[in-house]
Amino acid sequence: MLNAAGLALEQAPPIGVPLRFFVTAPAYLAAAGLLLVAGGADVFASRWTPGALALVHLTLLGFLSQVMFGALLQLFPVLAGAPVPRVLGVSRWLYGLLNLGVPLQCFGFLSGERSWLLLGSALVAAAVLLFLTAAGASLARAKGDRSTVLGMHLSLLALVVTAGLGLWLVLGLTGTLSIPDFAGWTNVHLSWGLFGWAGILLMAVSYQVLPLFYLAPEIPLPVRRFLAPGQIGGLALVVAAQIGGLAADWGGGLLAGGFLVYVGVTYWTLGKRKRSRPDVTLDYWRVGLLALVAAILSGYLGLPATVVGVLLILGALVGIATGMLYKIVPFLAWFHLQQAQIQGQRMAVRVPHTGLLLSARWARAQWALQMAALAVLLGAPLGGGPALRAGGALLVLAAALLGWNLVRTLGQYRLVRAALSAGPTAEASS
Amino acid sequence: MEHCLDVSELEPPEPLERILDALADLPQGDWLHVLHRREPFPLYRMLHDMGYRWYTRTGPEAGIEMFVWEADAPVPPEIAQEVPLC
Repeated sequence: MLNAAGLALEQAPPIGVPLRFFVTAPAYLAAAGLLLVAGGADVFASRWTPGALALVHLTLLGFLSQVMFGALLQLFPVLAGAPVPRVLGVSRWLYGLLNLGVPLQCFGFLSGERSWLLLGSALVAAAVLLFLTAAGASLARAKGDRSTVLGMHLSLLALVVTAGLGLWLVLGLTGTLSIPDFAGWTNVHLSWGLFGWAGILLMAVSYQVLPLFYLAPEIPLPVRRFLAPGQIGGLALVVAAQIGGLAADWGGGLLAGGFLVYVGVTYWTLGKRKRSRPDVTLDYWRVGLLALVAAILSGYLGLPATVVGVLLILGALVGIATGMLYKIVPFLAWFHLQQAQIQGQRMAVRVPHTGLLLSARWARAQWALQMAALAVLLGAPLGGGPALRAGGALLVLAAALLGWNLVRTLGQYRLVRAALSAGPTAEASS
Repeated sequence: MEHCLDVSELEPPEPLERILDALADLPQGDWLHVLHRREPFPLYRMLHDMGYRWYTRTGPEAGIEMFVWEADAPVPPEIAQEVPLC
């Protein structure tokens, strides 16, 4: 059960810890869009083109993992009651390593320069190692909801496998090592990253976030308890199939079945909300869940990999992460302002509500742009290069507006924070 | 005088926002009577730091009822018998 007493908001880290990741992430989404504009049909000529490799890593590492790292540094203490040790230093180093590593790695993919790819990947691996060390130390003391904590543990396990395989594949790609069945192992790397690290974390966090933020009923306990371990089982079967001796369909079937159960139950709980009113963050959740189902069906129907990838990555994972940013960032800004007001006993300064810290109108406009990008990119198998370029341009606009919306919230925060820190004379005149 | 506030169907952080707003506007000596779907644990620390006292009990239907008053004001009469002396 969601335990409000365990929601230890007073243990939350300083606002700068998660925000630096959140505000930076949209730049990578914009870079991915620019890559599509520049490359057009060449990017998706095959999944092995330099552009396709850079695009996937810009989106999944630069945007998605960046948001997930920032969110987890915030959520470990709040949801699991387990503060991250030395969180300020960890977040600064993590931010530096990731944001140096991902651009270098993607430059390495695009240019074919072996040394940049190796250096960038080594920096990303160092960032992941730092995060895993800090997260492991934090989760070892976790005492929150057990299904959420278990899911967090399993998603970190999946991150270890994803990063380990990724580094190994980079050594193969640069000719340092010889890897038999490179394509097969790339699929294993992608599966553990998408369905394990991102997918299981999505599930685990949603168990708490949906009842908390949207007043949705709780996801039934058996689902919460068994789904994430089942997904890890599916991923283990994917590895077993790659090594040999097992049909590949077993792992894929278990993963697909698990996600379909998750989407069905989650969609049902969202329909049972106590109060139903337009909410762009909820629309991101709904579209994301439907895109997840559509991706699974598209995969089984043998539709082009571009369609499956766009649905899964842009529609589901990036979409839901975007929706959560719109929920979390104004909430954090409001919460820290409220704390500052009480600590400074500055009751004469009114802290603006979350609805004023983020413009619902501009968030909705950004949603429309992102949905348009999704629709146009899904039409790429028919529209070809022009559709990819148009979809890329829309993605750039959507990412830019997302960044602008988040920066505006941060600006509002700074303005009120300054008023709260000002002397009594300034307060009287405000 | 009592000021009643029903936040039982609001999504977070609206209940906290509304309660803190209502407290900012609360005339001296008055108290707030809040209907909530569950105990607002994050609020308690804030109330303590802001110099308020509070009392929470099970609500008439589902959820809880919460009374909030300034620490130096008298206990609201409706709960005077229930609130432990300190």
